[in-house]
Amino acid sequence: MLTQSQIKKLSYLNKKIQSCHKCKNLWRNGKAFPYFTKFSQLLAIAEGPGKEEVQEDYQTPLIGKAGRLLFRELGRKEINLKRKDFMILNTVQCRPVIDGKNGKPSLEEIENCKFWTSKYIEIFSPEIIIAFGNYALNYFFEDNLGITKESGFVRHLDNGTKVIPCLHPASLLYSSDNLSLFRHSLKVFKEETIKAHILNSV
Amino acid sequence: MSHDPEKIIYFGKHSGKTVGEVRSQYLRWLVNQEWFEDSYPDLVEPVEAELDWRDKLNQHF
Repeated sequence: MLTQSQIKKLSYLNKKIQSCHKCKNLWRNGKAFPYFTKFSQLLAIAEGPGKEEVQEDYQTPLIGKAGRLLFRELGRKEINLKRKDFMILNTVQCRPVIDGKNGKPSLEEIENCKFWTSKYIEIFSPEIIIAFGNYALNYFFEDNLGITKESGFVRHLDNGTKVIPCLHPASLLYSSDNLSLFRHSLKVFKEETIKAHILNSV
Repeated sequence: MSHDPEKIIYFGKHSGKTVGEVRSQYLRWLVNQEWFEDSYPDLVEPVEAELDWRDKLNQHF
């Protein structure tokens, strides 16, 4: 459970991030504000918000097609995790756009947004993180790691926090070839939460 | 259902605003999200009550 003090600080960041114009044009595309509840204990980090996630008013990460797929998978009996168990962040909080479509964030944009992302992570201080896709994985590790190769292996940050790399759920929207690898990573992640006594076992 | 429009929303774009300050479109969207009740149980009643109140008075914004 988050403390009142953590909630207060995270809410404050959500307010401050509204007026961030650090990236030259990115902010014009709309933002998705990091999601958290007082029950959040795990951190999920993805790439950047898509079209659905930045719609006026809603502006919440992982509420689009990929997010729905992810939480359907997390809700399966053997994993049994809900959205409320997570704080959800993106490597960039504004929507990257290329030719009018969802794009990839640039290194500069990720670096700019680190100002915010690192603050959210510091306040939340998770024990376990699930990183969806290459951008989220390489946010933590500067070794230019490949998500397919790293999926399902447990990595550690210098402070002991565990990071479980996982394919981005959006990749499964186009092909289900990697569904078993995706499910394996979620299973590893769940096992780590049990080992750490973070959430009840299923 | 108790009507508490002063209840603070502590998440998302409207972080720090009260239920009574937020547009109906957002409140309606929230109550239609399957995760809303799980995520913010303390806000379900205030949000539904506020929407009911606006319905009755036809005072949506």
